[in-house]
Amino acid sequence: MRHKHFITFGSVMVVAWVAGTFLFIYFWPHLVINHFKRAIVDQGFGDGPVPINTLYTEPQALFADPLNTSLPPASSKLMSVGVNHDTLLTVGWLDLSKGPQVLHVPDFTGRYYSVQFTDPFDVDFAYVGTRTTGTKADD
Amino acid sequence: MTNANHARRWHRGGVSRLPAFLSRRNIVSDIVQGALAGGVLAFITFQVIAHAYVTKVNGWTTMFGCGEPGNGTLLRAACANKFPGPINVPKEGKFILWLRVYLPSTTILDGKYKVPPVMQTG
Repeated sequence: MRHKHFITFGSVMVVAWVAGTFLFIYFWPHLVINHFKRAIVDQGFGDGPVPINTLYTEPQALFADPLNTSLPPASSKLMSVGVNHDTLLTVGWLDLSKGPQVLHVPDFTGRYYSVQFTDPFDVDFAYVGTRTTGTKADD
Repeated sequence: MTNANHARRWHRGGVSRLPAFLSRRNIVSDIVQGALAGGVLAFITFQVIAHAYVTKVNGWTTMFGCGEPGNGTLLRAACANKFPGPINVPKEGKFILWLRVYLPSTTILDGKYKVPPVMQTG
């Protein structure tokens, strides 16, 4: 059995190749969103970790100059690198396993806003905002 | 190649000409190395599949259908790979996210490609 080792190596490689490809395809979005979860729940954006089921709006200094605003070392850089300079961001991680949450939006007096709900697999499954619900205050 | 020639190629005087790390292979190293090689190939295959969904116009890169419910497992993975993060759907933002990678030596305002193509988002 001169090729015994190559047969074993090749068989394992093919199985790992096929299985690994499926795993990458299925779990990659989850890995990416989990990175955002850690940024919100574990690191925060300058004021410490953001508790679950809490919305956090970025500070005025970070909004005004996201690239040059210094944050504490343990903070996440997700709000300072690669974001729009004209968009005020509010983020939060919701855990609805213990019950529903009520989102209240104030009256935006016609200004554009958008609340995006993204599931753990990177699908934007719902929107609240100017396009979908209008700009009046509502729950 | 005949069997005799093949044998002569790999063995001379009963001594294996394989490199030492190959001649000392055992079942555990076969499995470990196979799994590692398969993992690397799987990652490369994933990158190739993700890249197949990319649309490129005038040097600007985007991907249609990101974030849309029901867009499929493959497209979801491709979007997460090329555009990491919860980006909004085009009809919500009324724009399509375009990316362009610049080398440090090039100027962004090069006149030709300074703005991405304008497309109707529907």
